[in-house]
Parts: sequence; structure tokens; C-alpha cells
Amino acid sequence: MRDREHSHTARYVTLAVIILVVASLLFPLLGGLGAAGFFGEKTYLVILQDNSEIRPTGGIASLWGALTIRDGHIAHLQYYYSHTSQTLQTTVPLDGPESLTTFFNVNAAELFDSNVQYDFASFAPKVQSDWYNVTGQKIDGVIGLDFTAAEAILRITGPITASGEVITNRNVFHRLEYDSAYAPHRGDQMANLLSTLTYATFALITDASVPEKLALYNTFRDLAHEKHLFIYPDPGPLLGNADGTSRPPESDVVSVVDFNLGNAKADFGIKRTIDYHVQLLPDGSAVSNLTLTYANEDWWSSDLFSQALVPPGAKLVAVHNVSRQFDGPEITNANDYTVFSSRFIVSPYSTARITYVYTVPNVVHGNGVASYYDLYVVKQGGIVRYTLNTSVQLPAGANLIHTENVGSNLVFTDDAHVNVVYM
Amino acid sequence: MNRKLLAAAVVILFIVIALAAIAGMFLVTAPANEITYKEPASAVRASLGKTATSHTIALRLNDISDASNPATRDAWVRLNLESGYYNMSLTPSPGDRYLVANVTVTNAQPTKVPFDYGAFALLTPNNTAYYANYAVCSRNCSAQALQNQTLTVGFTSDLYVLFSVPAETQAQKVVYTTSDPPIVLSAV
Repeated sequence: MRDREHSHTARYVTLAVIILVVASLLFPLLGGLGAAGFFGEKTYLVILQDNSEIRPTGGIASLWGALTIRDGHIAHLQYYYSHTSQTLQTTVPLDGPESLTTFFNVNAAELFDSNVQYDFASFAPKVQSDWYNVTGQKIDGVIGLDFTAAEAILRITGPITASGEVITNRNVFHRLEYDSAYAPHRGDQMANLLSTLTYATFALITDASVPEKLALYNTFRDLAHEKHLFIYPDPGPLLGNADGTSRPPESDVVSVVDFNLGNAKADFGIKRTIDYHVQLLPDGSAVSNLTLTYANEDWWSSDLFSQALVPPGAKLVAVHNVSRQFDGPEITNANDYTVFSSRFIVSPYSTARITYVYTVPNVVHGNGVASYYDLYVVKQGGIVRYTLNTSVQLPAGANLIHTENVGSNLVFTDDAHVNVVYM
Repeated sequence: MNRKLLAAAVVILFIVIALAAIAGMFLVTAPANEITYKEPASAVRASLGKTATSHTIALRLNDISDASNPATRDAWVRLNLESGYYNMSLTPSPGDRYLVANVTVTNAQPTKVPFDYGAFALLTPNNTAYYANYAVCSRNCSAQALQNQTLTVGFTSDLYVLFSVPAETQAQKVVYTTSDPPIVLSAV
């Protein structure tokens, strides 16, 4: 009798495990497909961000498309070019962030230039609302991709032909820039290129072989992880934080959000290095020394507005080691962050450097046995890579147990997590 | 007993499927995206420094050099500044190099003819084609050849065409693919 009960229990447990495995495999897939318009109709705003002209959410938003997907196929697609579209040149109000609106004393911007929030997930609902107010068209979500994403997608689709020209992963970035520079003459070619790429990508999603689909999925996942592709609302765990939300953790954090001013399109020639030295104090607070270095390898200047987001409650002690004249720093205190903002020129073939020294409360937590320090370095969307140098000075008498990502010349293409455990 | 075996088999099947899916994610490779160019028999050809003429335009390949070459860089910067459009960086991605072809372009007709710098491709010895990224030339040339994409009567100018290629690439030829017939210029 007891054996029979055990047997029943074992069967139920087995059945439950099977259901869980199937559900865990299918639900994200179904959710992702539903969000992509494979069951019914969805309209997305597709925004191409030129990450050679860096903006807070990834790059200046040069080309916008209204994409309607019905039952997994493109039902309608229209691209708008920022230089020629009156829709995109409509002025919309800015809802922050204060670090930018106060620094420049602005409260409005043209729609194509309104991506000023610290992350894409904050920008997307705003632009969803602005788009409706300007055009009357309701959209279900917003897709953002930059030139790095276009290159990666073309590696999967293979070359395409648009307006009679062969576009590959090697020349797509410069062709887009070229069309942009010679606007309005080549604005149609730019839109045509993006339309062709959009159709080619959808053809791959629906018609390609399984290995090609997997390659495309891997590419999308990597692009989302490295913040070159954004999908809002978040399509679920298949792509993982694809909406680009920067969640301020309850620990130490550095998030640098840059803004390239003056149409310079200089960012691919800028090499970024973050030096972070932190002195941990016995009461769990810290003294931080953050140096942002910008090395310009191009032959023209880069005019940068740099916002350094650090934990709330941080107090600026000093600014030094500045290579040249600059505007700032302006200090903004918000719920999630304290922001130090500065504007400076990075001259051709030269380096600009700015150091913020500040105190931070409560960045160490303990469990009664060991003390833990975590630093999250949040990469800005559109930035390709950066170098991180970190050093951590423990309180007097403390013994180091474990470190992760502490050291010099660590190159990252995504967020970085620094961890130190000591007793 | 049979039901237990069946349940175990189903569980194992799902585990195998899940593992295969995970393995697939790591094992798949991107489809080949290199282009092989086949020179048509009708193409007109010229060696380095010599002119080849199609129905509409005449082309002469003067030189191909790495963008890191100081003289090439200076010419590129000067023309980029002169034309006053987009500033294009000469810093390639890691693992790549930029090659710049100096080509003299001439209108061979007594009328305006169409021109597209995007029709230039650089060929390797095994005929892998790398299509042009960007081009610069003088202010007057830019207004016609690059912005309006036409060559006026009597047009002749040097054009610098940039190609992004893998670092180990050796340039064998430059081809202008859309003229009638296509023009193939030897780089060696």
C-alpha cells in the first residue's frame, strides 16, 4: 500500500518536472514570438542610433521606421530620415534628466534629438507617447539598434543589395554615415538600405535554416547584452534585459553617460578608460577616486558632455587632473544617483582626463563573518568597449579573501562587476 | 513499470532536447558573408598606372596604400576637410586594415554620365571582393561625383576610395562593377 502511494507520488513529481521543463522552454519562446507580432499584429518604432555620435541611449537617432508585423510578416514599413522629416523635427518637451536640462538650460528638443535619458528603457515610453502625440499613430513598442548592430546582423544575413549598391558588414557603417552626410540627396538611399536590411532580417527569422536562426538569435542576444540592440517592452528572458534598463544596485556604482555635441561623429575614434580607486573605511563608507580618460585617435575634435552617475548621497570633495579648460562640474542629486556633469573638448590626437574625488556612504555590507564590497560599472548603450582599471584599499588591519575584476587594463564590452571580500 | 520507464524516457528526451538546443547555440557558425567576384569576359582591363575605358567612363589606378601611410593619411585629411562633409576616421576595427585606392576618374562621353563610388570593389588574389566604404576628392569633384552622383562633360579628377579589409589582405585588383563593360584595374 505504502509502495503504491510512493509510486503515485513519484509519478506526480515526474509529471510536474516534465511540465516545468516544457513550460520553461516554451513560455519564453511563445512570449517572445507574441511580442514580435507572430500571433496577431504589432507595430514597432524602429530607431537607428548612430553610435559614432554618442548620445545617452546609444547614439543620435538618425533614422526612424514605423514597422507593422502581422502574423510574423512585415505588413507595413516606412522609414523617416531626421534631416528631412518634419515629423522627426517636431519639438517635444524633455522630462529630464535634470543633470542635462539644468546644465544646458533646455526643456525641449526635436523628436530625433530627444533621447537624453540615462537608459533606453527610460527613453522608450517617453518616445512612445511623443510619437502618438506627433503622428496620432499608436505603437506597441520601440526597437533601438545602432551601427554596430547593423554590422553584426549583416554578418548573419550576408551581403544585401540596396539602391544598386552592395552592402556588407564591412561597409554598412560608412555607407550609412555617407548617406547621412550627403543628405538630402542620399536620404532615400539610406532609408532603402535600412528597409532592405529589415526585410532580409525578417526573411531570416521566418525562412532560414535552424543553424541560421540560431546564429541570428545568438547575435541578437549578444547585441542586447552589450547594449547595441534594445527592445521595449522587454520581450522576456530569451534576450535578457533587452530594454536596456540600468537598475541602480544597492552597492557602489559608476555609470558614465556621454553626449557628443556639435555633429562631430567622433566617437569611434575615442578610446575610453575608467580608473577607479576606492578606499574602504571601517564604517562601511568609502572615498572614491574616479578618473575618466578620453584618448582621441581622430584628426578632429570631440566636444563631450560627460555625466558620471554614482551612488545617491555621494559628496564631491575635489575635481582635478583636468587636461584642459572645461565647463562644470555640475552636481545633481536624484533618488537613484548623484551625477557629476562636465563638458570638455578632446582635441585631435590628444587625451582629456577628469578626476572626481568623492565620498560614498554604505557601500560595504557584511554577514558578521566577512565584509563584501561590490562595484557595478554600467556601460552606456552604443559604446563599443572600454578599459577598466580598479584598485581597492581595505580598512587598516583587514585581510583580503577574494577579488574579482580588480586590476589594470581589463577591457569590457558590457557591464563590469568588481567584487572584493575581506575579513 | 512500463509507465515508469515511459516517464523516465520522456524526461531524458526533454533533457536531450534542452542540451542539444544549448549545444546548438554554442556550435552554430554564421553563414559565409564573403563575396567572390567573377570578372566577366567582356571586362576592359588595365595595369597599374594605365587607363581603361568603358562606354561611359575611363579609370586609372594610380596607387593602393594602407591608410596608416603618412602621405595617404595627409591626402585623406586634406580632401576630407576640403569637401566639408562627413569626417571619416582612419582608425580601423581591431583585426582590420583600411586600404585606400587612388583612382583617376574621367567622363568618356560628351554628356553627363552616372557615377557611383559604391560600385568600386577591391579584389584579393582569390577574387574575394570588398566593396567600397567611403570616398573623398576635391570640393568640385565631391559636388559632382559624390553628392550628385554624376560626372559632367570633361570631368576628370583623382578619387580616394577606402576599403575595409581583414588585416592580412593583399590587394590584387580594383574593379568598377557597374560600367558597361566593367573595368578591372590591376594593382600589381
